Amino acid sequence: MLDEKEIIEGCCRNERKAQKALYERYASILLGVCIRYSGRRDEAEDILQDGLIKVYFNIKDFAGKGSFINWMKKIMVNTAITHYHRNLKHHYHQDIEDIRETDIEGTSLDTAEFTREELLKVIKGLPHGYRMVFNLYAVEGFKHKEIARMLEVDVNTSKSQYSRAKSLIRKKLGSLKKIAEKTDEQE
Amino acid sequence: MSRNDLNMEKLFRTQMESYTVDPSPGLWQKVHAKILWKQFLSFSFQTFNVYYLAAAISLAGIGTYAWLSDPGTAEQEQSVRVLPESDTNIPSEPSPDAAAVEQEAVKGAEAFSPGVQTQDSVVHSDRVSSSVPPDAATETRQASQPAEDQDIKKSSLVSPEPEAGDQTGQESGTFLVKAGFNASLLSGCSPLAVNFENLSENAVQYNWIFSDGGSSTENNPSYIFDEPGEYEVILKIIGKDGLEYTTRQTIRVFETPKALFELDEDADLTNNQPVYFYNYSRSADYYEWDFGDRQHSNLAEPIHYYNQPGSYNIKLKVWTDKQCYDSLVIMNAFTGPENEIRFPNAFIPNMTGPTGGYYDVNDISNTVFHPHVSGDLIEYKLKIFNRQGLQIFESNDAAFGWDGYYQEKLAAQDVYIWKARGKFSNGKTFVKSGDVTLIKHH
Repeated sequence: MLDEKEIIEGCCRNERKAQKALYERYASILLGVCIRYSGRRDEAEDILQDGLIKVYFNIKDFAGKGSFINWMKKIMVNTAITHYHRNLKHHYHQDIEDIRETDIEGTSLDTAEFTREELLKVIKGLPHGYRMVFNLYAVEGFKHKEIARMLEVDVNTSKSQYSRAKSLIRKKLGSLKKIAEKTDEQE
Repeated sequence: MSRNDLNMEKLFRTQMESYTVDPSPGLWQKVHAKILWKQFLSFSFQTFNVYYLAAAISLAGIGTYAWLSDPGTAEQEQSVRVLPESDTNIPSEPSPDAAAVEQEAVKGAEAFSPGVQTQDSVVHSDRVSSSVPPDAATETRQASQPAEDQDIKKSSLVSPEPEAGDQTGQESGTFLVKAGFNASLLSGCSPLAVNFENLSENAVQYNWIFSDGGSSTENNPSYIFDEPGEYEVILKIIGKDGLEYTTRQTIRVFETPKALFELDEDADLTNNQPVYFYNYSRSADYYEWDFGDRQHSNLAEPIHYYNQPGSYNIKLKVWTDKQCYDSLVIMNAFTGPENEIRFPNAFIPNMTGPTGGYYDVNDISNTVFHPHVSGDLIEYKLKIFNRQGLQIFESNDAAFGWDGYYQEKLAAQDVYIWKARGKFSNGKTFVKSGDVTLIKHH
């Protein structure tokens, strides 16, 4: 079993064994990132493929500073954004209107209450633009300014999409919770 | 930022940070193939390797074959493999050329697209001419393989990607039977109409099977797939040699969503009250609402606030992930407010004597208690009671109101109870009640 350093060095030398080791070790983590951005497995795997190619051919640029997995995750995120732009004309387009929303107030979200699969389902159910912004902001921790640059949108667009994504998510989580409570009662 | 927001971000971040999904089996092969392909394209002496050599030789061989064979066959999409021996002597020693062709195809597959399987059809040509072009033969005449070996390859051969070389080379026979077709669409929304273009050659009979129960014997059929699903379209032809050849393609039909919604017709558009929209759309992934006042929403069930009352055309567009689409418009929604009856809660009767109860709508003196009506009333009844429960007024005509007089005498300054019922010309009925204060003006 190759360790991370050996994998990186091997990949720099275009060694097939190292490339395969990289895939076996990191593909499932990276696919987890892709699927959050795409919502569709087939598209996520396309993103993974394209992203991995970038990883293999640019691995010399990874100077060994910072975390290797985060470097690869960032490449996946960028690839997902490229896919998003490419597909934008096929996907539906967001209109950003400031429509007042009644939020479910006081719903406290307990980490333990929701499974990962439920959260993923909620993410998958978001409109594409919301999903991009939500992932970039909430999970990856980018600033709205950075997101606006990456997605080529206005900063306010990023902010308003994020807030609407959140209220959609809150609603969906709220209804998940209600369903869960109902089944509890029945039991 | 509220505690909730932090909470939600934390929730997703902690749960999703380490989220893993196992890739589909075979994905590594695809990635590997892409690496090879990209290395091949960015050729340099550093990356020069056996793959490049193999690919170069294959390309040269394929090019020569394509050039020497009928140029017309170079355009078809189906890859066609020719096994140049008759059915009756398959186990016999294959000609070296056949083996070379086989090997060529295998090489091509390895070099270009390992693991990628495209449509292929196996075609046996029943007779083979011995006049193989000498150039092509020398290019590839490297190995002759035993018949068993070749038989194994026949079943496991992966055909190369079309761009990479859909021509595996053909021997020029007296005639060549080929089964192949193009579909105008490989995927789309239901109901999906597909035109099929028959690319078969030297066939005497066609039989199309559409896998949803439909079939056709036309040369170039058109077919409509009504229901979503994956359909294997199979073309079976009978060649001039009397043998049956089969080729197939898969057509994917995606579900078309259905846009359906209702709205709160009785919503009060004044005072910026929320209007609720109920989305009953089926199979949709995305929504776009046009509320008719230049406002839009992408929520599934939006709540909208109109700035002013009126009637609006409300449009809902729905999409699926596969870009299937539907829409629904409700024209002139909220015509409800046109049929409306409202009563004031105070009036000041004429102090000098009864006015008779008939009033002018434009008169603002407010000496008669009467409703404000929009729309056509076909039934109307108003009753007014005093605090003791005594009925002091009744009218069957909205144009006839109460002037404040009871039995020719001005009623006391007090609160009176009224009850009204009636029906509009559109069939909408109402029953209303309330109180009205009689104010004496001194």
